[in-house]
Amino acid sequence: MSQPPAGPHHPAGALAGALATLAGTPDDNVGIDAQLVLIVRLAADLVEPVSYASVTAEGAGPPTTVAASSQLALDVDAAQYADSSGPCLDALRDAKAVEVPDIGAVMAWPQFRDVAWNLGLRASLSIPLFAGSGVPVAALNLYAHDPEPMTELTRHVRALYDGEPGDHGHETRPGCAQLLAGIATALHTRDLIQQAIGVVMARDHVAADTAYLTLRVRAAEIGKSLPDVAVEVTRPPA
Amino acid sequence: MDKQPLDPTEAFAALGRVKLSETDLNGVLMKVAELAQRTIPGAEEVSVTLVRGGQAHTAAYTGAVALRLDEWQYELGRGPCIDAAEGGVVVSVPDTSKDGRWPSWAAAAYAEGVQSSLSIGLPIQDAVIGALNIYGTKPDAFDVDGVTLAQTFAGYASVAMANAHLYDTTATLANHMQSAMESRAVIEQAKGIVMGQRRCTADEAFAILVKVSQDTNRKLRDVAAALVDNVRREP
Repeated sequence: MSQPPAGPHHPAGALAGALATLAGTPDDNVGIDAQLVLIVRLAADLVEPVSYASVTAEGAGPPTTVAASSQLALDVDAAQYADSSGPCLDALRDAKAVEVPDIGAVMAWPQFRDVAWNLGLRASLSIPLFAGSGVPVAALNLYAHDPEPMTELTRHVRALYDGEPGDHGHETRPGCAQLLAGIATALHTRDLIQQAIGVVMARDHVAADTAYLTLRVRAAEIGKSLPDVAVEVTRPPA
Repeated sequence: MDKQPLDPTEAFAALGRVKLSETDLNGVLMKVAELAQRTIPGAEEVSVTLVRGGQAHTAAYTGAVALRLDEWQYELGRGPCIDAAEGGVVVSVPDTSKDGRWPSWAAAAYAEGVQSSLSIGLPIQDAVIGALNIYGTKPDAFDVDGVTLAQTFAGYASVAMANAHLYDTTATLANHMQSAMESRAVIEQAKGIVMGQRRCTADEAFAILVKVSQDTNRKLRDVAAALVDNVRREP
């Protein structure tokens, strides 16, 4: 696959930038699908332990694969949709990173296990991706032939989603470091927006979804990004 | 029980020290009743009426006479404390020997040695209304200062009820929370709510949430969820 065009500028690289950008993009932005496609390409190309990548999204309809780096990834996703169960669906619905360190040992998702195993996959990791509202818009599925190199990456991703400080700075593989930096920035952006949602909830006495819309409208009105508006709203009065 | 007269300043300081985490709503209301009895000149007995879903009951009382006079009103379905609770107003019965509004209740009060009463409706909030009732043995027992003091005690009772409601919400939410948001996002929202209310930084807001979590022995996530839910329901 050819190298994708340079993504959003991020000191840690294009993949990190794409993940960070998504977290600050309003959910209804038409560019979201293109961002997901970019993330899949970059993840498959850059993250060393990953053999194939895909993105599962679930809008109003049933879950679908928005982008995949290969037919093989599509097949593994489709097996999960057919069974209405699998790590990618759990990641999406529970907003948690779902790791499968040994696909052969899976009990909970037989369809996923059989299809993935027969295609030579041995480990997987599904990561929830958030847009501006903070609920998952997609799950990034990383499939690997070789389980061992995935172990370390998985541990770091889990630590990030668990809110532990972690030691992902010690990740020396550049692609893995980018993925982790991107997730860390995305989570930080989401935290900031959620805080801003809380400030608006307290100010306007409204539910979280209404508060999010208030921020989103404000961003559109003044032509700033959602994270910029969140910074403005959460700044304590001088 | 200490029945020595008490200076209002000391009484309100004592109320300020009551921790909801160490008692329940009835415990707080009992404290309010006791302190009101010791502080308001002419107050012989004090009680607190709460009305939930149309059902009135006495949540706290300093003596049996107050309880009987409250319950007699609940049986009749009318009386000064019920009117005070429903209207959120002050209802005074300066002389039970000649009250024409609730003659049978007034006669019962007179027979019990209660010649005047003062009922302060608690500020109305949510589903629960109530009144602070003060009974005196002499006619015209309560002057303007007494009414003002009683209103302040009623305000404390009301704040305690609001807090208790928040705590109850927290407890039930822990079991019923069904949210698309996982813990981390909910905690960030709660931080934002505290930041908005207290005008503090995110770190300070987090410290406040942790403190509440520790003081109430509840999970941080549950404290945050209750806060988020409460903002939504209580404009």
